[in-house]
Parts: sequence; structure tokens; C-alpha cells
Amino acid sequence: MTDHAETDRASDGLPPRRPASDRSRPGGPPALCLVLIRMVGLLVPHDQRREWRDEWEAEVHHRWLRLRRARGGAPPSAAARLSLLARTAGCLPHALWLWKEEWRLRMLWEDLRYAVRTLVRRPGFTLLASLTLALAIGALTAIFSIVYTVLLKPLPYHEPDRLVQIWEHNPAKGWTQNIVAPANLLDWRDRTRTLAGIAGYFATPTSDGGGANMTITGAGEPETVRGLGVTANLFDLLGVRAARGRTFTADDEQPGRSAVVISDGLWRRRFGGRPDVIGQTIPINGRPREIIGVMPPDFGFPSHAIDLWAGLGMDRAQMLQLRRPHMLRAIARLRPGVTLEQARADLRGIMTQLSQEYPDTNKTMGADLGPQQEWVVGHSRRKLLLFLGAVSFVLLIACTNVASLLMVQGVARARELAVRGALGARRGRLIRQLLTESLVLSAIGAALGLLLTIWAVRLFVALSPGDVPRLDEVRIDLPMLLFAGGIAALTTMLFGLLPALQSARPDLTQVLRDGGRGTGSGPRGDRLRRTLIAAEVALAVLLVICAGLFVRSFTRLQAVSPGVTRDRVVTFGLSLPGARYAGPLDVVAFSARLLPALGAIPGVRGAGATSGLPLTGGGWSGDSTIEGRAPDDYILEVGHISVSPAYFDAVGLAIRDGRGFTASDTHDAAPVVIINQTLAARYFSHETPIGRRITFAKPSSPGRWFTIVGVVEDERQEGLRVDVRPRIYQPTLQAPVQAFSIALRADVPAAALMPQVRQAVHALDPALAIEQVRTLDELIAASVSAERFAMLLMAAFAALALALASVGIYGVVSFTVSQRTQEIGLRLALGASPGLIRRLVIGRALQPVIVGLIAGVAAALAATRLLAHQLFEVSPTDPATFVIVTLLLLGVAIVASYIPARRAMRVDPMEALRLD
Amino acid sequence: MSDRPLGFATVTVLHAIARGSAYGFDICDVTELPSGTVYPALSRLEQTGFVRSSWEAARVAQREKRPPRRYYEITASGERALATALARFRALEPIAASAVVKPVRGRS
Repeated sequence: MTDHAETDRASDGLPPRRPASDRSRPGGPPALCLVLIRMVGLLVPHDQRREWRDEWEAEVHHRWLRLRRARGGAPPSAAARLSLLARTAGCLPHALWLWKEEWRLRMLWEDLRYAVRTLVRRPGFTLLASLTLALAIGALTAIFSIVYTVLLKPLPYHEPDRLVQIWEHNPAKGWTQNIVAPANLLDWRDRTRTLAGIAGYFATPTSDGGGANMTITGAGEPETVRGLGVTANLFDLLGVRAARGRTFTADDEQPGRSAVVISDGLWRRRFGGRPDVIGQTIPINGRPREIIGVMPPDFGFPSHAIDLWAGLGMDRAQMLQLRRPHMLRAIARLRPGVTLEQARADLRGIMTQLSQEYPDTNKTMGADLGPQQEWVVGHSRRKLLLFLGAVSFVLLIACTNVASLLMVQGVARARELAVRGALGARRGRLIRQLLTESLVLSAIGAALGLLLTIWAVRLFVALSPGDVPRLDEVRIDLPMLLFAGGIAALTTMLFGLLPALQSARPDLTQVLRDGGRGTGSGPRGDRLRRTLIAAEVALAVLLVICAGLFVRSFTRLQAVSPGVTRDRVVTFGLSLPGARYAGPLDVVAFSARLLPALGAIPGVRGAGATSGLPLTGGGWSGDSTIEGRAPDDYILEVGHISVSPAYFDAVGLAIRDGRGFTASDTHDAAPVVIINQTLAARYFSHETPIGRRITFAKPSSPGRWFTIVGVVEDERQEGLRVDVRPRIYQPTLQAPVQAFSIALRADVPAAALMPQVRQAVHALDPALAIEQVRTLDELIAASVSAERFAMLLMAAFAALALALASVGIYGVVSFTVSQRTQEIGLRLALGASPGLIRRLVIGRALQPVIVGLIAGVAAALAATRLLAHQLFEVSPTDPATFVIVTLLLLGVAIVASYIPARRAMRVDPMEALRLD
Repeated sequence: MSDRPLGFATVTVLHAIARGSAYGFDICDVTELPSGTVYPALSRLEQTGFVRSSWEAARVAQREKRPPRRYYEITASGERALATALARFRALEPIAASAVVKPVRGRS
């Protein structure tokens, strides 16, 4: 093909004009091909369309002529025609490609430049709108990252969806998801046909990440770490290998073995990441332990708070003896192809066998299982979804706000848009332009918002009271940001569309006649703006009512008396290592020296020891029987705590009847107990309990008898929300415990006291670590920290919503006032008083607000039921909250519209009428 | 955009132009690629400056009683890009030879 070599090249790059007769030559190419090119050509950008059509038509013509020539001038065959049509159809992808390129280059570049210029010219609006979006997008992305990690991301173990948690339940005792007895666990493991393995680990309150405090001594300072006792098969069951060394094998469960596996964190922190740590022996709680493995950095079980894993400290024979004490959590893996239901049925079958084999302990005991992920995060799902819901509302309010701001801007720009329209800009082009502006706004908002996200997630993790699991896994990674940012941008685009459609309806004559106040200020635009305000107010009311309920619930909770005194009581924990304090008498001897030493510190008024501080849920519980009662009349689940004689006085609990413990209640004296008021009221309603005897067993098999010598005031042990349970106190001298807490009532603040306390403790035993120094007030505050956090977060969202709504109302009302300056001037000129004008403006502004209030309250009445279980002694439809919030929003709306209303009052009639 | 390596279809089209095919439909014939692939490739090559296009002189077209066609020529930067791309493909040859490759035929 070289025939072009002899042709002249058109210098301007355009095809030479040709006579119109060329196009519809008789005997020319099939009409279908030409029509196709015509139609598809409409897609091609205007400035390339002619050239494009000419090229395609010329090719089709040329090919057609060649086909005819090949057949000696006869019309080509049907197959040839079809093949030509198929090739012509290629013009569609070509046109689409050109259209896409045009869109990409022209729209994005030109519109973008124009949008940025427009926004820069209105810095106030731009700043307000993008900050609004930034706050909302930032908060949404932050909460979404957390929700995603905690609720949706699979647990970081091998095939985590097949991991299940097993628990026991006992309807007779009101146990629901109770910890399991070691012997039961072993029987499940031996008899199951549906589970590939069952591992156990010591159950501890999960609020601080699980595990127990252990003290590492040896080289360097003594350090308190979190350790967890686990069965040897745990790591294999989770499908996780050690990064260095190995994890446990069955051999490590033999008596006398002392292997521990440490976390990556502890390895780096304490051992400087040295590889030779494997095989080293370190004293833990005074006992030498061999480090056999280091776990990978991302491993944590049950959470990242655990620094080391050790054996349970009992072998199979010992575990099989333990069917009454419940002390383990059990995790298992479903065999391939086994459903949850099958495993559940299997487990139930085993429990039925066990209840026949061991009627004494297992008669009413049942067991159930559920997905591990659900077990770990299930309890925080509602709360996190609530936060996500609240923050989505904030985003919606922000979008409504920006939409109304954009619309006000659009109206103010009516003249500009009308002129551009008159100069030939199509409506689609103008909409595209306005959309680009909101896109640029949301891009700025998203960028600022993402910065905010990083900060907000850190803040959330730092402030969260530890009731939300897996927070240590929260990462801000790119896909997450893109996803959340995308959602945010999409929402913004949707809201940008509304005002864009509204504004891009230019009617030049009307706009110019109205002097620029034309299109959007008509009844249509006004209605849309008022609808937006109503929506914004409704959303804000709903959110503020929810927050209000949380605040009221929290105040109620705060008002609950903990029983103990809040002031000036310092507490701390001590664990006496079993290696050096082997017998109960060693413990008794230690506290007999420690408590007087602490009491002698200047400023200390009283020093007591207890096995369970208030609001920590400590101590153990079991059956109890009062002497002389019927065989079926026994106390289910009475709590046990050991306290030293001075403890009640130190924390401010008064003895209501009988006497307190004294130094003469020693291990060789008659066994005595003190009961709490709840127990006294429930089981001794018609007689005095003093002098009666009680045993810690069922009536059928009574054990040792204890004489009740006193009744003490109730203290809240499990939390302010939980009713006080029957409780028995024993003297520490008769029931000593290795790990206990000290409570000091002192006239001096904790900071001044603690150095002397440390000195006193270390004078007796320099290797003891002083754990968790807290005042009682802090303890009480910590027990409601989850509620406080939820309340603060909701309140923050509500405050944001309120601020956004008031900005929205203010913006729209001041816009309306500026639009109506002439009318107001006229009214003033005709004798209306400024007061009347003010009422007029505010009254009109309040109409959509009231509509919004009604809608919001109605929505809240329906929605707050979902909060019921989170609230404490507050009805989800608490009238006071509803009324106060409604008035609050009304007040905010009046203030927000008062400022523009005052401006309206001061309109100079002459000035206003002369405006045009 | 121009730093991204050219796709196989685009290189094929560029190669066909370099070998003397000048008109869209002829390039389709030579490369055996569908016109819906060839034309966007042509537009893209022109956009990046690897080819330039002109129009046939009117009298040639008049003589054959048809409208004038648009023809494409490779530019100097197009030659360089083609050489780079072919070198890249040649580097794949040993790999391709060791793999089982199913021949793909395009429509024309």
C-alpha cells in the first residue's frame, strides 16, 4: 500500500471538503454501515466528530469498492457484507474510547481547575464545608476501621472460622457461659467425634486482656508481666508456630516440667531480641522456668496483653480429680466438614453421659459451644454498631449541611450559571461543573478526614477502657482507607447532586431580571432548602436524644453507692510466689509483719488486706448451707472473700450486727465468718444470724461448720450495675490467700504514700512487685469506665451533630434574609416594626426546624428501644430526656436564626429599595 | 501515560504501520486484530505522538469516486518506542518457548 505516497498531504490535517453527492452514491456501501457510523458518531466529542466520521466512512467506501472490483463490479456476497458490517461495528469501541479520553482529559482537568478557582474565591465557604466533611469523614473512617478490625476481620489464627469456644451452663445456678471444670474438658477431649482438638487455658477476667500477673526476676529489675496457663495442645490447635524455638508438646505437661513460651513483645523488651534466649532459664514467681519459644509479633492469645504462656501446672491425673472447681476456658477446632450443630449435639451427648457417671457434680450441668470470633467480640458488637450508627448520622448531617451550603452558593451564583448557559453551556455540562466542585470539596474533606482518622483511632484505642477486644490489632491500612473514603466520597457526591440539579436550571431572562436572585430563590429552591434543614434537625434530634439517654444512664450509675468510702483509700496488689511461701502459715506470717509495718507509716489510719477489692469481681463462690435448715434449703452461689481484721474499717464498711474480726481469730481458734447484709436479709429474715453456723457445701454433705459472728454492710463486688449478692467473709488468718490486695486509709495522697509503702514491702521481701496502685475512687471510676467511654463518645457525636445543625440553620436563614432584603425593606417602609420583622424571620426559620423536631422525636421513640440493654435505670423513652433535648434544639435553632434576624431588623428601608 | 509499556495490540498496530500499512482497515487485515481494537490503539498512538495522521489528496479519491482516506505514519519517537517494545517481547521468548502456549487467532 503505497498509493498515499503520490498524494498531496493536507497541510491543516483536516480532510479536504468533498461534494455532498459523494456520501450517498448509488451502489455505494450498505446503508446499515453508514447509519451505524452516523449514530455512533454522536458519542464522539464534538470537535473530533467530523474527522472521525470521514475516516470511518472513507474506509467503508474504500473496502466496498475493492470488494466490488474483486467480483468484477457485481455486488459483494452476503458473507462479505456481514464481515464489512462487523468491521464497521468497531467504530463503537473507538467512539467510546475517544469519549472516555475526552471525559478524562477535558472534564477532569478543566472542571477541576475551574472548581478549584471557584472554591478559592470563596475561602469561608470552602473552609466551612471541607472542615465539616473532614470531621464527619474522619470520625466515620476511624469508627469503621475499628468495627472492621474487631468485628469483621478473621481472628489471626489458622482457619479461624473453625475455632469454637466451649462453655458450661447450669440453669439451677443461673450460670450461662460459665468456665469449665478441668475433668469435664478432658472427658470431652477423649470422647468427642466432631472436634479435632480441645485446649484449655486459665479463665481470668478479660477486661485487662486475660492472664495473671507474674513476676520475672533474675538479671535486671523485677518485672510484672501477664502470663497465662494453657494446655500443651493450644498452639497446635490454633495452628500457629513459634517464630523461634518451639511451642509446647505433650511432654511439657509431665510433672516437674517448667517450659514457657514468650511473646515477641517480651522477647524484645526484656531480652533485647537476642536469639540465644531459647533454652535460657529465668525465675518466674520465684520458680526457674525454661524459655522454649518466642511467638511471632502478630500473635496474641487471648489478646496481645499476654507476655508469656506456661503450662497449667497440673497433669492429667490431677485434672481428672477436678470436676467441681470450674477454672478453665475451653477452645476447640471443628473437624473438617463438621457443622456447629453437629458439634453441639455431640457435646450434649457427652454431657448426658457425664451427668449419669458423675451425678454429684454434673447432674444439672450442660455444655454448649459457639464460634470463637463471636465469643471474643460478640459482647462489644452492639456497642460498636451503635457508635457506627451514630457516626453515620453525623456524616449524613454533615452532607445535608454541605448540600444546603452548596445550594445557597448555587443560588448566589445563579447569574454566573445563567450567563454560562446562555453562552452555550449545556445543562449537563453545568451539572458536571457543580459536581466537580463538590467532588473537590469532598476530596479536601477526605484528605483532612483521613489525617483525623489516624489521630482519632489512636485516641479511641488510648481512651477505650479495655472492654472492646482486638483494639491492639487496629491498623489504618490503605484498602481500609480507600473503602471508607470511597463511601464518604460517594455520599458527598449524592448530596452534591441535589443542589447541582437545583442550581443548573438557568433561565437567563429571569435571573437577569431578578438581579441575580432568580432561580434558586423561587418556591422550589426554598422548599428544598427547608427540607434539608428539617432533615438535618431530625437527624440531630435523634442523635442528641440517644446521647442524652446515655448521659442520664451514666448519672444514675454514678449515684449508686458502692458501699465502701470513696475518699483517701489507696489499694495495691501483692502476689506471694508459691516457691517461697509454700504453706498457708508462711502467708499468715508475712501479712502479720506487713500490716503493722504499713499501719505505722505516718499518715496511714488503717491498713487491711482482702482477697477481693470492691468492684473487681474477685473471690470465689459456691453452695452454702445454714445449720438446721431443710435439705433443699441451701444458698446457691454465695461469694467468699478473706479479709484481715482492719479491712472493713480501712474501706469504710460498718459492722451492723455482732463483731468484726480480731487478731485472735487465728487458724487454731474456732472458725468464724461475717456475712453481708444481703445474705442476712435473705436467709435470716426472722432471726438473728449471730451465733448460727454455716457450712460451705450442700446440706447432703456438710463440711466444716463456721460460726457467724457479725453482719457487715453491703459492698458492690461485681460492679455498680449488678445487685449485691450474698457474701461470706473469712478472716485471712483462717483462710489465707497467696494473691491479695492491701487497702490503706490515709490522710496523704497516694503519690506521697507509695514510696514509703514500697520501702515497707521491700524491707520484708525485696523481690515482691507492687501491682496496680489505685485509689478506691479510681477503682470505682474504672468499674464504670466502659459506660463513661460510651457516654463521652455519644456525647461528642451529639455535640458535633448539634454544631453542624446550628451552622446549617444559620447559613440558610442568613441566606434567606439576604435574599429578602428588598421585601423586608418594603415592609419596614410600610410601617412594620423591627420586632415584627424579627418574629417574621425567626418564625419562618423555625417552621422546618419544628417539622424536623417532630420527625426526629418520632424516629427516636422508635429507635431508642435498641439502646435499652445499654441503659441503667433509664427508660429508652425517658420523657425528661426527650423534652430537654427538644427544648435544647429549639433553643439552638432560635439562637442560630436570631443573628440573621437581627440583621434583618436593621435593614435600612431606603437602602434596600434602592438596591437595584 | 507514555511511560507505561505499550500493550501487545498497540505494539502490533505500531509494527504494522512501521512495515508500511497506512490505513485503518488495512492495518486490521495485516494484524488480524478487530477494528474495535485497532482504532483505539491508533488514536492512542497518535495521542502519544508515536504516529501522525494525514489525509489522502482529494484528487486520488475523486479518481476512484470515493471519499479521501486517513493514513498513518510512524514518527521518530514511535520508532524508538517500537524498538523498546520489541526488545521487551524478545526477552520473553525463552520463557515463552519453555511454556505451553496456545496460539490465539484474532478476528479480522
